[in-house]
Amino acid sequence: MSERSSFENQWQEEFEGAEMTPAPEVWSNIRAEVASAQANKKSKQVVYWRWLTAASVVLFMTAGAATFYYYDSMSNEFEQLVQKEEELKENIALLEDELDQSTNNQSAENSVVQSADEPASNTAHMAGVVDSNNDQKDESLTIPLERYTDYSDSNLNDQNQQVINNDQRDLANASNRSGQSANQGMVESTGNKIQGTAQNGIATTALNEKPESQEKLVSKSIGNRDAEDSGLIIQSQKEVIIAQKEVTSTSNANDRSINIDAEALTTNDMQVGKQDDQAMATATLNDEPEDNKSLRPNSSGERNVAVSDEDFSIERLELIQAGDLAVLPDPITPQKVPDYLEIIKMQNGGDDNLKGMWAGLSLGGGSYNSNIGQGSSASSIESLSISGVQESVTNVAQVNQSTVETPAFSFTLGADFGKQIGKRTFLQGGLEYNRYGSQANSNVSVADASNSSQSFFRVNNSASLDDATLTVTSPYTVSNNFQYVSIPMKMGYQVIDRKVGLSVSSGVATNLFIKNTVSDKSGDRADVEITNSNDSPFKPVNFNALLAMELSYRWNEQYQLSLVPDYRISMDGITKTDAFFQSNPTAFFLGFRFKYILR
Amino acid sequence: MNEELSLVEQCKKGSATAQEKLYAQFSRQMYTICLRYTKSQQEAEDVLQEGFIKIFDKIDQFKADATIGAWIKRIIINTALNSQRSKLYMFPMKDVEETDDVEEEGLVLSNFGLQELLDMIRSLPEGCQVIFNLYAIEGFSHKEISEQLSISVGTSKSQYARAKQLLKDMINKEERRSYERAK
Repeated sequence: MSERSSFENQWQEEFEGAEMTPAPEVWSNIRAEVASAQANKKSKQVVYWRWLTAASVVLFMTAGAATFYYYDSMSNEFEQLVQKEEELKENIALLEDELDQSTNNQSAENSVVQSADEPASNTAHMAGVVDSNNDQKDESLTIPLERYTDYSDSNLNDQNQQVINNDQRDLANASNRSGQSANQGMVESTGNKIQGTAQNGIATTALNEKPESQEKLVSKSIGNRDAEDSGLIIQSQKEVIIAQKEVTSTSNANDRSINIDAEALTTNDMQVGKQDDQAMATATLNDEPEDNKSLRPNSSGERNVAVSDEDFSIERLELIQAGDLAVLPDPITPQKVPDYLEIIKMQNGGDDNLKGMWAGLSLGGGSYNSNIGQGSSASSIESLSISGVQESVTNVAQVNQSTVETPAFSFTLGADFGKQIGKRTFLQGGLEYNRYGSQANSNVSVADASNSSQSFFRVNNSASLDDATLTVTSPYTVSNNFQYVSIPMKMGYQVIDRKVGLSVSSGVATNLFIKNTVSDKSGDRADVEITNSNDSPFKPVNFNALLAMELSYRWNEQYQLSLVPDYRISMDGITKTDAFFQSNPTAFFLGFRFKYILR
Repeated sequence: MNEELSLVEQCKKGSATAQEKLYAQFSRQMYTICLRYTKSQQEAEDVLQEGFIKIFDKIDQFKADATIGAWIKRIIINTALNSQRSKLYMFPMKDVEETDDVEEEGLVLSNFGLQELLDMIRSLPEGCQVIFNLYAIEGFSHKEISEQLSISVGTSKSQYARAKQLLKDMINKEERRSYERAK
């Protein structure tokens, strides 16, 4: 029964080429079904692309929102820093103003003229300020205070009080010849209440010094002040002690200033109160004492003009607390406000050379598509056979039910390292072991000279092709595995750099071919291995283009876990140009990476 | 051959005209195959319809390693086997003692028309019908048939022997009838 007889041959001959016509409805049904299937296929593709588009839009919007939020928060921080800096500058300016003010107040306070040995001279000689026709703002209202001496006698209270009273009277009787009340400054006399109306004027006092009498005339320079701030009344009710004061003045036609160096100045019960508009000037303008410098203009243009008390009415007085003028505050040195970049640098810290370096281990699984295309002879997985079996190909093809390769499980295992090269860019490299797999079905096998049945896909290179026999078998599954060592190099961009991070990268991988193993899953046929050799159809080195995304979670400052989907496509194919088939594989992997961040 | 390949390429692109041409070229031959594996015309048309739908669906997987006719025939036979597989399961085949070859001299099939031969084959039991088609007409070995149908080689041989016996009986019976009619 194992051999065919004429009976079987007759039957085969009778039905060879036999034809019968099917009903016309068969084709109609086929056509409708095929059209429907094609429409479904297209709609599935559209749905697929729509989902992909929607997912991409969502991803990019999320990345964009996160980036915007990140930059917005950073810009807010920068703005806050700038605002702080401006506030500091304003504070500095205010403090400087206050310092100037306190300095001026101190000099005004120092203008008490009293001599311990001489009776109160009833003087608060007030120099004239400005001629009525003189519009020079720099010209001053000078108040040469007659004299002052150290007061060390505690019994001077009565004397001081008398001096104060006299001064008050003098000031009240003083008049301003300039008539420019709006431009007149303030006259201050320590120990006297002064009321003046001055708005924008400059009142300066010239200091006259008479070294021979060891009496110094103190004049005071008063800066421009607004009307409301121009008043200053200092009234001492008790003893005014001036330890040592040396007042110098620099005479300058346009800019006169007074440097007051007061080692100690204490006043008791000095009060400055707010006064009404009515004059409370107590400036006293007396006859020029003989030992005083003449009030008449001197060669340099300074002149002392008598001033009325109305000139010194002060609308508002500032309260100076005891001790405020005792010690001048140190100049405020504004603290350096770190600029934006400095803050970032300080936050990052660490050695710049190791900034943004990391090392990691990765493991991933995925699918591999061999994309076998047309070659010089048969294609698909059958074409892995050696070309010498050409004659049998046609016969085999008639019964061969081999299917196209489909992706099988693939995995990659490797070590990575990377370094940040810019604010958000980084370089990444590594070393990987890749195992790519695909599979197909076949029903043909080849037995070589040793009669060991091998898969049709490969005949041992040393086998004699003439002795090979082809047999049709039941379908069996063939596994096709490739092993490579891969050296990837990528450049990436950190889209989100927070505790949860997102980055994208692309690059090139150099793949070193190790071997290809074709095996029968059932085990009935021997495996066939192809390594690097002249007969191998595979290139020893090939290149992949890489595209990857990394979703990371920073565990702490040093450790980070990542999910890495990546797509690889062959740039130059894995087979040699003279191979009888071509393969341009693609692979998609989903991997996990564990990173150690170097500091 | 080139025309066939060109037709195939057009079919891969989804050309309805090309698909119709391909169907027209192979449908009659394939329908005959379907008639051999089924019990009725309706069933044969269903197998033919399903087979060609598969062909057009998977036409992009066709490689030029075989002729398009062989490729289509393989798909049609597989479709026919799949349609019969359930019936084969329902009626499990048992080993039949292998009988000696019957005297084959004088058996001339050319005296019978195609339809008569088809009727003879379709009158066989399902298991015998399938195995007879695979062995006698398609040319598969018993080992291959056993692997394809997941049966033992012995079952394949015994079932074929039974089919052969039945067919010979039918032929002899028919010849006797014709002889008596001729009388």
